[in-house]
Amino acid sequence: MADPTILFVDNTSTFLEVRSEYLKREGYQVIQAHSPAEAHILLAKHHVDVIVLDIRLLDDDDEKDISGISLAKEVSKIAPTIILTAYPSPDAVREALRPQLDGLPASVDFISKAEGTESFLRAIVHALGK
Amino acid sequence: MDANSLTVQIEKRIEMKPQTHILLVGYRAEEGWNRILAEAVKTIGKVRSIRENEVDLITHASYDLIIVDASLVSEAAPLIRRIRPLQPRARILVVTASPAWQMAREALKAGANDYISKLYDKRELQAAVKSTLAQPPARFHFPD
Repeated sequence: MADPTILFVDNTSTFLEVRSEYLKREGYQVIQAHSPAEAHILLAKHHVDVIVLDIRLLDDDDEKDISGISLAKEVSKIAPTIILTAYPSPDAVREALRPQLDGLPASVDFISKAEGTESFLRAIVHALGK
Repeated sequence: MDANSLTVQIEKRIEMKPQTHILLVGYRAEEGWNRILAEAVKTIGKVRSIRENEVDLITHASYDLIIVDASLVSEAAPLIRRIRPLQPRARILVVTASPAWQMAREALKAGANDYISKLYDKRELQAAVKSTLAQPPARFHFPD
């Protein structure tokens, strides 16, 4: 069976590179996107097993920017999504993990970038099992 | 009858619906906030309150809404995991005096519908309860 494919969406290129390399070493295929628009284009072309999303995809300094969670809501039917953020807050967690109208949340997990790679990997393994 | 008074009548009927059953978990009558909460939800449905150690006994009734006071139970997420299979149709609302993102994550992953800070205003509380009641029960939760 082919290695599971992860679509990784983050506008911070350095972080995206470092974590993508880590995921590849762990045996995953990684497709990178830097914006919601790029993510949509890639999703139309590729089969994806898990989608990892940063929250602030448009402006890292704008605390109102929740474009990553909005994108998770749009694509959660395509593959399970995981939020990965440097700015965790109770409200952001609610937005991502609260059940929506169909009783299912936009994302299956919410990880802080500060939690390190182990929590990140555990979330991906869980999501692949969904 | 104009449309407004008709809406008020319908809303009243929904609020008084006898089949809206609400359970307060972690209830302590001596806590001032619990009294505000019990008073606020009484207008929305029939209210029962239990302590944390009575959770396994709630199988005989079906609740529409279960409110877990995270400040008054030992740990909200494991408690929700115990409640979820016993009450699959219930909406679960977690309230807390000290919100923390990790606790919100664990509660929602365990099967809660929402996680809010304690509201001391009766109307705000009622609005939060009604909005949770309008949601479908959570269909997702992580295994232990």
